[in-house]
Amino acid sequence: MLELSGVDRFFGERQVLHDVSFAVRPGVLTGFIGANGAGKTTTMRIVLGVIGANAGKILWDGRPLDKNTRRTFGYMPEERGLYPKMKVLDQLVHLGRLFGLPPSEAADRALRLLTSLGLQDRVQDRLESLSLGNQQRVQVVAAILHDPSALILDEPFSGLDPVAVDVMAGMLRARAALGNPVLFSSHQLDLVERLCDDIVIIDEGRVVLAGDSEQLRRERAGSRFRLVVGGAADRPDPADDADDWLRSDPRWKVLELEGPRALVEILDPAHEQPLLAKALEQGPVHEFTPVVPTLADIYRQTVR
Amino acid sequence: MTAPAPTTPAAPLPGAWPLIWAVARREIVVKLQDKAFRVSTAFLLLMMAASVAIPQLLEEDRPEYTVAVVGPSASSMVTEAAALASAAKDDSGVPGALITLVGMDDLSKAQEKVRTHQVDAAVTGDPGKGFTIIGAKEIPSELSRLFAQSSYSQRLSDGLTRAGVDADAVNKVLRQAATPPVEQLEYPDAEDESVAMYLFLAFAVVFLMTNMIFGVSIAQSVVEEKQSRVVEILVAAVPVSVLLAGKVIGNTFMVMAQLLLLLAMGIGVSTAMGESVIIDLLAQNSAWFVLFFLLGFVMLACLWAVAGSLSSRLEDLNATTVPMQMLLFIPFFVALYLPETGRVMTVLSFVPPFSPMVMPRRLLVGNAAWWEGVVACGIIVVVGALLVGVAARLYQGSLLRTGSRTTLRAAWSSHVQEREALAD
Repeated sequence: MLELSGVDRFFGERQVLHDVSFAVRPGVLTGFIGANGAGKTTTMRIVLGVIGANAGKILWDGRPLDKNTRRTFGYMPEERGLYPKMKVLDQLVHLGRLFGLPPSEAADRALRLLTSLGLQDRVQDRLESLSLGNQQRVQVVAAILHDPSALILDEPFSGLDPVAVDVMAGMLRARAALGNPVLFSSHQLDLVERLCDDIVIIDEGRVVLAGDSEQLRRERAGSRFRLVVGGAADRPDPADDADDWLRSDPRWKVLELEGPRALVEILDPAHEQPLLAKALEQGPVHEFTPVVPTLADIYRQTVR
Repeated sequence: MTAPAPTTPAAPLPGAWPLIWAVARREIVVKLQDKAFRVSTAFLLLMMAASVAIPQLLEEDRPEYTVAVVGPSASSMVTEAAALASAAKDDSGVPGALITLVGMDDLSKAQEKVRTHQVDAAVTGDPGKGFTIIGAKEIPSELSRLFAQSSYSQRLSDGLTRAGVDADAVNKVLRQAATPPVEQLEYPDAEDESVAMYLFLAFAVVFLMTNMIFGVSIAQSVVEEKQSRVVEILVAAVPVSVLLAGKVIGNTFMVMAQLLLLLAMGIGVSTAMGESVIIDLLAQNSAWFVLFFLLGFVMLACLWAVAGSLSSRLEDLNATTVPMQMLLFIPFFVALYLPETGRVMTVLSFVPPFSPMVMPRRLLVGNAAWWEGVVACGIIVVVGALLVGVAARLYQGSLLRTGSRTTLRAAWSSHVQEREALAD
């Protein structure tokens, strides 16, 4: 397991990471979510040792991460990074050497991985002559060439077409299935929700939420209800009424309100039935459903 | 949180040298595959061949003269002069020339030929009464010297024969009395120095050009890695110092290979042309050339890498490499234009970055002892080692800074913070 504990980082006078702590479990995908400039890339670079931390620790299986272990990590930087003018196979073999692989083994693995991604005919082409999606695939091969013990990817899905997204997702799942921790950042919340078991949300350099995605969503379910009331002919504008009786009650909070529809969050589970009772007092209730928030909901809620 | 810990065994960390070699190897392979590099190497080789061969070809051109002769005596005198001229060697004191004879019936026709410049001179007379040499405005100096010699020997032979001395004996004595062969213990100063300076100029130009070409290419390859962000993957895999060392070693390897090719070309061409002065000078000084070249290049190579790492984009490279160009051009002009002897020259021949160019000149011209060369090399090594340390720190401090150009001060001070990440 990969853990960050109390990581601080300054750029000059500006503190960009505040006490960042979270865990990346082996065998599952962990999504790293945050706005631009929230500190995702900086955090990942610190894990990879590309830059230093001003305080805090990176732990690997409970012990401080050492250089030799870190060398076994796979990394895909945000703005990508390979030699544009080098041939695909040549540069993978070169990177393999830097990771300590014998050249023949590096070539074997690279060919195998490239073939599995459908790039077997492009191995002798210069990287820059490949399409963006194919360059991305080569980048993935570079990250997993040395059979990494952990995988850290910065925005691996950005700029990918739907097919490439599926290929990438399959790749990440396969790595996780091998029992490795896999951490990746993304702006695509629906994608993270679909793929990830764990999520970490970072905002302005602080981790605001971290844990099992399902659990986090379920914890937030049961407190939100979708309510649809009224609709009868004698109530031309039920929203006005709803506004009064809903908003004035301190036992719940109105998140959205549109005509007869409202999204209400109760502040105590015990207030569920009173909410329904009060709604019935106003007239017919067409819908009263507990809402399981999407990741996007949680994100907006925590980051706001 | 119950999943088992990953069992993937950590790949063994190779020592630093295999990693440095891997980085160096890429630099070499990329260079060899680079068309611009191959073309420029071929161009340098051609330049080298031409700069050795062309002076030789020009020198080989002997002057050609046509001489009108009136009468058999004059004809035999000029024939002897022509024989002397065609057999003349560089260092025998007899001028070399190609003389063609034109026989004339009478003097007035010969004079007419001279006046109309159809011939360079006319000769009449005999050994008894003496020869007359007729020219237009002037007689080419080679001709008058050749004629003086042959007419002297003809008149002497004629006089002695008439005095009763056996003709064969006279000829034998005269042959023995011909211009004595010259055995030179040292080359004449003037020629030696001009050839030495010529050779030094070639060395200095090659040093300047290859340093510029390879220096810029080191800087470019650093920026390329920065700009394409591949540097992040590299730094995650290997220490920054390994990257720097690999780059410098790879490019040094290529520079030295190119230099040795150039030297081989120079020695080969001058051997083929029989240019003994250049061969000897090259043989005596090649080791110095190679040594100063190697040390001078390595000393600056690390700084070129820093110049590259200070900029984030190829477009910024011009600005950050200006100081490097200064470090090459100023010593170049100093070494070229400083007076031969003098204290400034002597002092600068020990001071980097001047010494890699100034000391070879002093050694080549012959006014520095071998130990002075050794001391200058030692100083370059010490200064080079210091610069490598400084460069490694600056490189480390600036390599991962993107955005705008990095100042030296920022690179120097940010090193400490980043090193923590890389040193554990």
